[in-house]
Amino acid sequence: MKRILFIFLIFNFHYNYIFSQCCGGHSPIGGNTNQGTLPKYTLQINSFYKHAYSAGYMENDHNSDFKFVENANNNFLGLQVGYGITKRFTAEVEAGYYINRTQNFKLNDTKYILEGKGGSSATFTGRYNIYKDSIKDFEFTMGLGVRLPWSKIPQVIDGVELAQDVQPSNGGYGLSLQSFLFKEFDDAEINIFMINALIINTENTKKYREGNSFITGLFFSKTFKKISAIAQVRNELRTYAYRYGLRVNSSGGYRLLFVPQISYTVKQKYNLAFLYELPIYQYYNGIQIRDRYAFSVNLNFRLGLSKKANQLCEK
Amino acid sequence: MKRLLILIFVLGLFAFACKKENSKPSNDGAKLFTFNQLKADKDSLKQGDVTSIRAQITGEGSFAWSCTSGDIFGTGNTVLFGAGSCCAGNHEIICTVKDKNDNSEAKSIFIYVY
Repeated sequence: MKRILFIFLIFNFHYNYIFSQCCGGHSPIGGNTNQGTLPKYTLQINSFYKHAYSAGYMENDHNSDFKFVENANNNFLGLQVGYGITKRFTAEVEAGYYINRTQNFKLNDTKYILEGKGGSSATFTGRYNIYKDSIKDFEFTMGLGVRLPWSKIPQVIDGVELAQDVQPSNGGYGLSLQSFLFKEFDDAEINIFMINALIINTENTKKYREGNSFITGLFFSKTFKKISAIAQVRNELRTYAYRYGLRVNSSGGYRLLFVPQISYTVKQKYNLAFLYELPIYQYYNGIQIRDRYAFSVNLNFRLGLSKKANQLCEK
Repeated sequence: MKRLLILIFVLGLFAFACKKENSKPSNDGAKLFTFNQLKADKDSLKQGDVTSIRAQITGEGSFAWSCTSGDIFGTGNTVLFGAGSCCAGNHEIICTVKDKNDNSEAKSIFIYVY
């Protein structure tokens, strides 16, 4: 029972954008998801909202007095639909939409705002449970995802093409390889969960290629009836971006984040979660705008599409 | 299962939906402008600085701006171009003027950001 509840929690893990680009707002996400597989014939819908804020500049791991963008923020909505096709295989599709992706400037004593909004990308993922030992409470799952850009044409506002950092869609394709490791310690009533992901990006029509990302998230959870506390420590490494085949020196870097999360589950069907992303350590190649904080609200719903699956969900 | 397949199909339609290309009307109208010049105050910039770029036309037309990298601020015939820490290098700034008869002409300049 406890196990089912835990598996149903949403482990927020963001695939697609994660890291800010060289000069622009802390970008969201491709999705927040339970990275394991779903029970057969079970449909899971996960919607989420994320706000992120960046301000000031950093050079490597210290503050920089460089000035250009005053601050940047974005508000993002995501929807993810997953379905357990077989006992071991889950298919997922997720899509994201930027309500705004904004950079504020003060240039020659005049304030300027650059703002994009619109669809971000759609990601199709297949996840296969390779190993599961119910007695030892251990499982291992791997996944492969393909990300399609919402648009390959850069967004134009009032006759001006927006800069890469405020474009809602990066215009490139992506491939993600994921692994998911779960271990439950019955005696201590603690669950540990590890997610690894490699995200490879392709060049867009502007000959710009975002750096590839390597991400590891380690989750610890403790459940108290309907409420669960989850602590996540996430490591993100992003390689340099390339423009016209030339390396963008102020791009990519390394971040270590602490992400506390509170989840509330009702009837093992609905789950509401709030989480806050706090950078612990950041190292930026060159000079880049600094990610300050981000928070997300997630609403998750699970439904069995067959009698058996329903019984499983309600158990 | 059937409901799921329908759901996947509908989501797939959204994901793969293509934008209809705007069909270009035939260019049978007279050109209503002459694009005289595209000029920037500076041809090289320090990262974090901006420069003004002006498109000079005779006649009537609307202005569209794009660049290979960097930021463009403002609209109309005069804009600011700037580049942050991301954008060292030589960047092309393109201005396209279009009239109501759908005639268009583009000019570009290069600004070096160091």
